[in-house]
Amino acid sequence: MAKPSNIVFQTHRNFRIRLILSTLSGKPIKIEKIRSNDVNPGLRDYEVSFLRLLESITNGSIIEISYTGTTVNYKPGLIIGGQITHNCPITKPIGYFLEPILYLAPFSKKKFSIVFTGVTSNKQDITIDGIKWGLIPVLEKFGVRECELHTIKRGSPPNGGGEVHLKVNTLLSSPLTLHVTELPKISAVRGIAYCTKVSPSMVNRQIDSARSVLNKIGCEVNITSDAWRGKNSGNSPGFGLTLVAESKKGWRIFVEDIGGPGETPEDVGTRVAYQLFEELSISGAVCRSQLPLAVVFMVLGKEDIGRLIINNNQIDSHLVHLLRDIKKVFGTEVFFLPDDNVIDQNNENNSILTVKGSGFTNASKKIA
Amino acid sequence: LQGTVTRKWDINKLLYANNIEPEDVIDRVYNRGGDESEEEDIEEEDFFKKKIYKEPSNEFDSYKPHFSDIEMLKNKWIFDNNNSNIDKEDSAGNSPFALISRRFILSKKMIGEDDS
Repeated sequence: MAKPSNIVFQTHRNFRIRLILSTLSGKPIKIEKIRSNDVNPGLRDYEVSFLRLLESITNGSIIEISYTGTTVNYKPGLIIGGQITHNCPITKPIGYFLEPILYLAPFSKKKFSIVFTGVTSNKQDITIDGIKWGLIPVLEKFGVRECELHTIKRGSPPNGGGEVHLKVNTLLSSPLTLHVTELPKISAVRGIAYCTKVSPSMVNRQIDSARSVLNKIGCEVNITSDAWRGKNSGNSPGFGLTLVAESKKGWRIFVEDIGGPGETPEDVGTRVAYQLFEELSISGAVCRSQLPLAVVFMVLGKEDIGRLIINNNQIDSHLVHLLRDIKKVFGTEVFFLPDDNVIDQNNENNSILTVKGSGFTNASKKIA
Repeated sequence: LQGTVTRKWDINKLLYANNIEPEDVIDRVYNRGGDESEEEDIEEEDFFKKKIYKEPSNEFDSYKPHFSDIEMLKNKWIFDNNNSNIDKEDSAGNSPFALISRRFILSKKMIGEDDS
């Protein structure tokens, strides 16, 4: 019998999502030319750490890294889950490692309970608040209702020292099919402003400045303050803000940022508030950070047509790269219905993303 | 034949065309990020042009969205006391406030209607 040939990808683009798609589909992949033209070629420490995490939550995975680190062969095993602790390197925040686990956790053999330690937020990757208030609600739409993320310690960059606990108790056979063809109406703006190892007044200053911008739209604004001091506040001072525009049906569009060097809390509060307006103006039912998760779960759905209203501004090169990777692994194509098929005629800048589910079934789940 | 030919591209036809880079797909369909004068005359031969290889940066493994500069955002989303910035209407006659207020459940007072 012929050995199944590897699906070949090049460069480190979508590194985590390619490994996740391989794990879900059970198809081996080869990623080559990883920073092959770089002065410092090959995998970075956080990518190796992610491979280790993948190895620990699966059973029977084979990972081969070339001598130079520019090629990775990955043969996925079964997703088993269980209780583990993962120490994330300080070069990437916990969100970098936690976000892809959300794709796998509902399809494992045992319930997931992972403790992550490291940096809880940075500017480049999603923070733990973004995951809690933005990504977990998307999972709920696909039937993953028992998913919790607890912050035990906060750890600002650069030295981290944070600790979070992810528990996913829902095990799915296949995700629910989504049919969202109308834009959800936003009923309130909520948020969380946090700080570590600095005066709690930094939190209030962020809230006041964000509120001064958000009040102009005239909807309910409720931002929680979360000041951390003492041994649970990590190893570095820092502050940040996450804002969520939520609808009554549970759709949540979020933006977030943290304070950089020389920035005041007012800078962060004002910037995130304006970013929320901007994100709302170019979002459909989900925002740009949530779209990859929604699309992958739609592809994993039953053999039925899923529909999701999106804004045309959300169709960018990142999405096209993702859709091509999905097609390479699952063979599933996504279509965008033109504007005249959109039910809400007021929003001519929207399209309906349609995809026929691949009929994926969870091979790891125990039969009761 | 004289004059320029403008082609209306269908995203679904270009989405999985592996000979076209995703960045070019978006440029052709939505004319985003490119010089419009160059985009108007797109010939068939453009499909077969050799592309210069670009090494992706670290941020290409992240889906955190990028936003414009804060000053640009402030200018776009400035509201006056009447909650309207009529001067900034787009081609369809929609102000940024009108576009965004459609997404909110607002009371009549908030959207400037008379209570009576």
